[in-house]
Amino acid sequence: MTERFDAAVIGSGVGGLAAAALLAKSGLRTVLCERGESVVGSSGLAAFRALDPQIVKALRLSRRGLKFAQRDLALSFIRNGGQPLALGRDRHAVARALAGLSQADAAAFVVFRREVFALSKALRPAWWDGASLDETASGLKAAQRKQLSRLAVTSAAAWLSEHFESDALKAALAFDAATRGFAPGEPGSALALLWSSAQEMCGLQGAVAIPRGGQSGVLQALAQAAQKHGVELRSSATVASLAAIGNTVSGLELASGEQIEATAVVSALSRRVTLGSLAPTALIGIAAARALMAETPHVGAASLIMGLNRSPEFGGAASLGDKRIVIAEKLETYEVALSAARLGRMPQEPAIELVLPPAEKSAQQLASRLQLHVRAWPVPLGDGFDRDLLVRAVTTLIERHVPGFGGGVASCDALTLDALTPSIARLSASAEARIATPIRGLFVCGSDAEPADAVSGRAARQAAHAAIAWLRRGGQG
Amino acid sequence: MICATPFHARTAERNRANRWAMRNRFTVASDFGDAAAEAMAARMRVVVSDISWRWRMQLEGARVRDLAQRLFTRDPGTLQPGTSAKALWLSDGGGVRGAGLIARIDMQAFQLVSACEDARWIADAAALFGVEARDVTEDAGGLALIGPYAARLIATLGFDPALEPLAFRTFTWRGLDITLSRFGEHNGYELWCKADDALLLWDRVEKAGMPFALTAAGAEAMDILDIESGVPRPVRDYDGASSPNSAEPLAAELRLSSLIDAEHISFNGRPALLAARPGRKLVGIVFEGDVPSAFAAILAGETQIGRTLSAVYSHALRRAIALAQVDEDKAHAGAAVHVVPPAARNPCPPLAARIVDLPFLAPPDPIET
Repeated sequence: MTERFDAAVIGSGVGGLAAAALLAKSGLRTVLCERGESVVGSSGLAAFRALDPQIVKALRLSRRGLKFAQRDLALSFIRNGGQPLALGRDRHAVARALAGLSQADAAAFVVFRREVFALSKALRPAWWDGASLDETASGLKAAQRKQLSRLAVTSAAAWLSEHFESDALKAALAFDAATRGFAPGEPGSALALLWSSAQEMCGLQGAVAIPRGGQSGVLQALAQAAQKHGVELRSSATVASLAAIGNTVSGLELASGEQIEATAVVSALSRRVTLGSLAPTALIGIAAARALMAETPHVGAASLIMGLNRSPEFGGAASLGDKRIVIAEKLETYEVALSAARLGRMPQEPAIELVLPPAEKSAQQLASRLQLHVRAWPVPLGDGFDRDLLVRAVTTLIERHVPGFGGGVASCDALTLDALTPSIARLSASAEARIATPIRGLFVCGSDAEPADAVSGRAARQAAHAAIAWLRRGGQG
Repeated sequence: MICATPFHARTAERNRANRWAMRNRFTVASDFGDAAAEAMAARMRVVVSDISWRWRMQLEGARVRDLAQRLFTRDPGTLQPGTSAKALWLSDGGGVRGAGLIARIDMQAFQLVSACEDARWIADAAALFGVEARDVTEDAGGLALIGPYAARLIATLGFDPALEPLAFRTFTWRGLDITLSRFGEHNGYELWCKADDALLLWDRVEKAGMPFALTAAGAEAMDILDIESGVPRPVRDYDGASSPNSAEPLAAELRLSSLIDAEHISFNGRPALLAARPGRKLVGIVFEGDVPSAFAAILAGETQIGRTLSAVYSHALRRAIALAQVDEDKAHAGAAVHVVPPAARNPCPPLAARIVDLPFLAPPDPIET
């Protein structure tokens, strides 16, 4: 049986649902095929850093139930068992707090944040609108252009060390590069920090926000938008392969044998899976296929939800509240952990970030109402990963600052592993380069089509626009 | 790394002028005194030439057929063990990376034989299919027997010369493991043996060849035969596509389109190849004088329309000849042109020449036994 659509989307998630909704909104008959039992899933991220504001606006997600429980989690770190030191939005308040740690760092922070925010905002045309970094750089002021070209080859660690002396502060600030998969000591990883600072949540630059319902809340809103615009959402619909005529995509074949004809296909799966497993092998060149295989990530990040009986108190203070706490003693912590992960061993001390979303009533809530979301980097992927070791390492790390923490843990659930494929080239490439494929009419919008690994939906927006343009050209050119 | 072929001890003895050429990573005798005479001997009698330098890659595995279908411009999947086919392999962009012969060893093994090495590319492709790719070039020695009396020499050695073109047979011959093949070396035969047995093979062939005035032929004589046959060789005449997305050189511009099967739809680079528009054609150039000029500009009037590739004086034709690539719309047989030799210390005036179709000469046919 063959059905005919204008566009087909493979995979749901933020990217798939956003792409499908935008395609249908433009008037295209669109189907979304998700292999899972539900297009909205049941768990995932609590904190969002980079949800595309243009998608939120275009799909009116606020009217479709997207609300935020926390709008601006302050990056925080702990020193010597004391209270978390929060790097909030009020930079002068931060400076006063940092003065107890280091007068020099307190003075430097104000300047650093201002410069970082200014430069990263100036780079939004690259990371938001799809231009390449080189094209965007040509429009910068000379001083910013010079700084950018330097940072493009500078490690986050070196850059932070130029400004700050406190190990704990540097390690905390470096975390946002690490969760994009970049080792803070890696040349060019300073760009990853800039990218993080360029993002916006709830209208606030560099903010990290918690949607009500976490990722599920975002997905529900996107699914509503998709349905409102007429997307045919299909769950339990595994795509087995892509169909093509010559080197132009012509549709999908599902594992059930059903054929779906479509002039444009947008895949929310990774480029490696889309081209390596689904696309006809003859259309992907040998060199391209080898390059895809070489991208197989061996190190990633783990997200874990710990159900707690009581709220952890750092430094004797109340719960995490409006903070995200990074536990990484110093920059070397990342390098030591990465060395272990690259050898396929669980690091004894990964860098971790703790977020405690406000307790919510939810039909899908876990046994405990308090859920501590933990993000740990780096962890080995594949056979080297050991869930129990990870839980033990996380618990040990937290217990250093919260004695007796382990006793308050009721459950450890919802573990997900994210394969990260950090690439300086991707950070610098145009949107077209990231979403286009060798197969005409096929576009990708997984997290590896973003400039940096992140759940954003921006690549989905760009892929949807490219697919719409392709369809308006009659599927040619 | 520079290697000697397994026959080096014998070829070195006969290479009294000590002239050597590099072929792939091997040193081979450039000639054994007179390349022109050696080439003529290949047309009049029979010659033996050391072809051990030909790069050979063994491909083995359960999915070797899938690999071969993906790699090569002709589908070797239907070949039976003991037969072979000539084909190209292309870059992702449709440019010719290499040309060679794919021999089916058994149902899970092929051997690729080529004048140019491309080990990394083949190995990368093999890895996609879980196929083992092993360079076996140094494991064996090979001799080509070329000429009208090649079949009789083969029979004198004790082999049955009745072997179809592109076929091969492996057997034990007087204690040696030998493969007899007809892989297309100028319509002759090839004998392959283990590297350790090479000198023994050479001695036996030389002894059996005496009644036929068997002559050793070096690399230069083989080049003369190639050019007379209209066969371009990688490295000598063109650079294979070196980067993954190279769209050049085009098979059609090297007269290699016959090695592409239009019905075979899954080979690498096919989409790009189909989209390409060749603008040049491989032709022959015959010079009015006796002096050939290689890699020189070809002019029609004042306009450059192409350039020569390899060039030699052919004693068989008694003409200076060259392979050449010429703009397709100007490549008319019989058209008069001028060839401007590359700038040199003593510049020459343009050489008068004309375009001819290829080949200049057909390979010599073996005399029946």
